[in-house]
Amino acid sequence: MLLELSIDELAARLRKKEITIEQLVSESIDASLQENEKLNCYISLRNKKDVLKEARQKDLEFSVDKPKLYGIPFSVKDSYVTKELPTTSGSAVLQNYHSPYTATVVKKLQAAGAILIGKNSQDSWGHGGSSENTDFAVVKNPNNLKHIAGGSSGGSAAAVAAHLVSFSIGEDTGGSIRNPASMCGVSGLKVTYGRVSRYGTIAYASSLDTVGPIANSAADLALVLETIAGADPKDSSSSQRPVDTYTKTLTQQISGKKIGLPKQFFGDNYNPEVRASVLAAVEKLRSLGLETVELDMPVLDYAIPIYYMIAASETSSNLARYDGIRFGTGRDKFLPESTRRIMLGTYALSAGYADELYKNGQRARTLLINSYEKAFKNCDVIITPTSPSLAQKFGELLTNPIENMLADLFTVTCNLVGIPSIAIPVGRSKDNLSIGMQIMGKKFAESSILNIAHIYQTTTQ
Amino acid sequence: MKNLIQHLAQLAALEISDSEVPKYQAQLTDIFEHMDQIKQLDLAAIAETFRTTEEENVLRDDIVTPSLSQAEALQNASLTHDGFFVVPSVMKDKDAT
Repeated sequence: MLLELSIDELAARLRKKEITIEQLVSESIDASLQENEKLNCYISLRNKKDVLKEARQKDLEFSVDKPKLYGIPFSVKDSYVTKELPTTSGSAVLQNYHSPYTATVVKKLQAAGAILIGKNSQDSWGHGGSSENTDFAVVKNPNNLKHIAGGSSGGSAAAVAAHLVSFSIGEDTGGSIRNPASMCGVSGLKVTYGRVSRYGTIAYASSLDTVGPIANSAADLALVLETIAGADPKDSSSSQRPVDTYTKTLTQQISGKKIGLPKQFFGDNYNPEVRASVLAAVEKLRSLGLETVELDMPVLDYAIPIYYMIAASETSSNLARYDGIRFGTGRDKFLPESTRRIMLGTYALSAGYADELYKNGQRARTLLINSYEKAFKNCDVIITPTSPSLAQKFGELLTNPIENMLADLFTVTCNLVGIPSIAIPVGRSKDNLSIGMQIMGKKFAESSILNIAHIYQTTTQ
Repeated sequence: MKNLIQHLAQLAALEISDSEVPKYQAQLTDIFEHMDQIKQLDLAAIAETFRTTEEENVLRDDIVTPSLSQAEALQNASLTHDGFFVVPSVMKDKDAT
């Protein structure tokens, strides 16, 4: 399959005229239509005739100086509004919603010539880590169809893992890119808060939401990030900092860099196969010349309550707009998971409780930020597992709200602190389920974590 | 607690039937207890963090730029009238009571 190749390799073959964009896109749409029957990774797919017409047009206009993403098929989580297809955010509240405009991230990719194939399934509103909290068919894990694909960007990760597209854009508020990437065995990047414009993203929690890619490798992620990062006048939280050339720094020397390992995240209270695989990957990095240092970050024990206090408060405010008047159906269509989060947030923000609950959450967030700042004085990156467990069977998380919350244990702190983190696969369990590791970096140090992930991936292949 | 669930549902404009109250009551009690762990932290002298962006007061010149047409802005509304959104009435008719 062509789509098993890296974007670099596809771009090279297009330039050598060994393949055409039509061939590539035809493979993508055919595989997507066929595999979606099995995986449920798309909520909507574009019409085959339309995408092939676009591909043929791009073949005609192709020249060697076009961007590398020119003609490359991609998909986006259904949390991004697009004029081309309906946008649901995985919820019946937005059934039949057709956006009159397109999200900046999609516009940038289309301007670079990438071809949108379809929109991926997810936990509705980003609420969940299993993609089961949905009004649509539940995504299945391509590695094992009896297991979840993770979430909330489960459809994006499954589509990339099954090689239906070269990459997909997910959305990460507390781990929603990294968790499914880990469970499906692909690479996912949560960017620094503000690095990629969120204009046209359906908001979950505004101080935590980030836009990022899921792909087959750190090299592919770097290429996509270079295209989508940057300031956007339509998103005042987007950063004015210049965008690095992430693809140029992928192969930099990494020996001598220091890895921090928080002892709170390497205890014995989670899946031993996960811990063993991550420690083996850390050992591999040590053999490449990196040093390790143990970190003591006691506030990490409070990560989940801090995250849910803030995320639920912000989501109860963001979802208040869905009144069924200007768009969407009605509030009676929220599923139980979202109903719980809205009620929790409403409680945390309500008169008499806001100071004790919401504001204390924000104070505790400051402690977390201080803890990371101190940690990064002693190391360049921090490594932890991505998820404390292997991909569960269907229904296991859905029936247990607390378990569902704890699934985000290792990922939520990056969103609260605003730092970037890359999730990469580091092994398989004895049941052939993927295990992931995340490498967190300092703010705007995407180049550094992509660099380490790339060296790891190219030396372990 | 039962009243609290109904109160929160009302504040958030969510429809929760009486039969659903016990389920949400049990689940939210568990979640609130979990959240209570934050109280173990000494937060008295700590400032709040509401955002992690470095940007401040992002302004632009007050220049009109192309935007959605009226038809586009209204295209997803369930009910429109003469180019307006139709909303449920919030004031009671004085003769109705």
